[in-house]
Amino acid sequence: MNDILTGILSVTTPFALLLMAIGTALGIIFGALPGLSATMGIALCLSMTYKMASLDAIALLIGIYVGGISGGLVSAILINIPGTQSSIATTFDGYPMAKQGKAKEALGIALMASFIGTLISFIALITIAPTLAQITIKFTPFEYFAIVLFSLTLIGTLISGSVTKGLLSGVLGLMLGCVGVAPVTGTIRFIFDVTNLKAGFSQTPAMVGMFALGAQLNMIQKGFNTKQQSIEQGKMQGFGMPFKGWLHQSFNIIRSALIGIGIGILPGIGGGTSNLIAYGVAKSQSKYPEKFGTGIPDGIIASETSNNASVGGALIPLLTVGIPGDTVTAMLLGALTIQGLTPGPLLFKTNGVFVYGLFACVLISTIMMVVIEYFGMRTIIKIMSIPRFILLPIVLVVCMVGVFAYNNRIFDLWVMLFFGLIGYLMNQFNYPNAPVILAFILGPYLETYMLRAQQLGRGSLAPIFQRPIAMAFIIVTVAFVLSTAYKQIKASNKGPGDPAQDSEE
Amino acid sequence: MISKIKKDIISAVFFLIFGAVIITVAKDIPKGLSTGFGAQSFPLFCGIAMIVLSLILLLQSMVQLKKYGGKAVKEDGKAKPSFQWTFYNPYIQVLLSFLLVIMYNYLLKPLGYLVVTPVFLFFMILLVAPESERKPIKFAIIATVTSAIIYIIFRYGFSVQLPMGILK
Repeated sequence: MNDILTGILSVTTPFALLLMAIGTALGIIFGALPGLSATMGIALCLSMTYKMASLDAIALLIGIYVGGISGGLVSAILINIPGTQSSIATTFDGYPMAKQGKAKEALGIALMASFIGTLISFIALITIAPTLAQITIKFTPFEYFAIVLFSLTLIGTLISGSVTKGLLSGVLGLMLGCVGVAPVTGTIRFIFDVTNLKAGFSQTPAMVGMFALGAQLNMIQKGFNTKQQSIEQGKMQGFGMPFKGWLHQSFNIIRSALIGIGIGILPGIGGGTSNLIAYGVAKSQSKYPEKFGTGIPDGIIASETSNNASVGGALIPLLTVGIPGDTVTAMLLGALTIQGLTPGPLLFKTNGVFVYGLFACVLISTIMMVVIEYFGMRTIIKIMSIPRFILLPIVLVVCMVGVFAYNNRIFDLWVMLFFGLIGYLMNQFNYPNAPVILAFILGPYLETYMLRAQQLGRGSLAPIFQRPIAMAFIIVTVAFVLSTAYKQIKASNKGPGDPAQDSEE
Repeated sequence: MISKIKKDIISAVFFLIFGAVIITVAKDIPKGLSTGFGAQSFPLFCGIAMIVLSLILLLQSMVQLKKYGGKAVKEDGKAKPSFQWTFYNPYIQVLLSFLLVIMYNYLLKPLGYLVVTPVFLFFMILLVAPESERKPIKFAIIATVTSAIIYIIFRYGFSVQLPMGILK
């Protein structure tokens, strides 16, 4: 109880609140601008957080996360381009509604749905996470080994159209994580006489390289869309529907939120997937599925509730087992490590103040998100009309300066460049980027657990067969890979379809 | 389609070689532990996994190539535009932005943040801006003002001393 109060108090200082407001606003803008994402926003700010107190840092980053998922709705509704993958399904009904002259209503509904979605997932987070932490605290390296393996496989399998390529990306990431001092043994390996590599590739430059530089190189490759879209006028007024309308949607809201939370918890997928699934389910369960796509509130609500609900979901595995499920939570893990905190069940015991402070951040940023989007819609729209060929180079420079400033080391800029090149090439060869970074970050953990487990097992991993939880994860992992591979082989034998079609960003 | 399969084959071969290199290097890493696995085991597993996966990918691509090879060659032949050596070729733009970052890395310390950053930003915007939108004076102003703002934020907001270079 004491921790809860202290936690809340330590994030309601003027400075933390200011950071949260800046973060949320930045997140909304990054989310609203197609081509920029919450991941990029966090990459931008990551190197600025290292001098802050841990809760101040997390206040800023959580703000970006929450705002970034929601911000996509603005462009989805007003220009029919999802600002992030999380808002793809919002365009289906949001844009038709705006075309009918009801942009105001559409924005209001989407905003309210975002708010409720985050709120429900917040409740899930604060109830599930502490309970789960009491279970995971008993885990031995065997369980952790199995869970990390499970997460990495899921990330590699779910994220791309091809299991083989997704897993190859993951293995590449594991390899990159092997550079430098080996965990447990302390052996130095793969540094090829580069002394700066002794500590391995630093995480921040690596992530910035892949998600800021790499993404930008790919944007340049694709070409900037110069045509200025006509932006439907959007001014906020009310929340789109009378209270009765919302009451009518309550089942849709709860269902979509649960889908969002569930998908958020699973490693590898988040808001980018949940909005499409929730939309699909809402449509198929509806009494009037034919109206979907013509501009009805149901579609907007399903999409926006579920994508925001994934935020709370994704934080659950991060906090209870210390495993990030997507790139944003991976960066949060990076930020926490910089702060000297190790996410995991112990955090609840040793750093309760921090955990509850983080919970409070989620709630406060959600409220800020509503306020900023409600009153700042005009400014957001104005910023959206700044050409991207000016914005992206600026973002890149800030990222580069941040990477340099982090350690005052030019070497980090080279690491950034190296990972940018990997990110660019991966994209050119149709490989997903996210598994590389996630495996790069989780790799050292996987190896540590493997070595610790075998020390416990006196030189063998065999005792894992006697551990039900660990075994369950291993069996699910194997079954999952086999079934997905089988599905893909079947689909590719089926004929003229495009089996190699990879999900593109 | 066919170019996609070709890319798969190229990348599979690359990973195959990469995996083999990892294994050769990893073999000689001192073990560091008395029992079972050591510091060399994990990279070895990665190398093996990489080889197995790239062989699977190679096999998949070969099967697909056989299936789609015949009909796809034709469409591929006519759709291919010749490579043009202009600034508007996206590949050249990517290459140039890459070179810009390399130069930035090399020059940041000797010349200093306040000299290198505005120049970098200016050329970067100029490079990626579409032809009809190129306004060098406007870009120069944006580049200078933004660099100054970033400097102020880092210097006074985060108390980070950025390299002063020749302005020292």
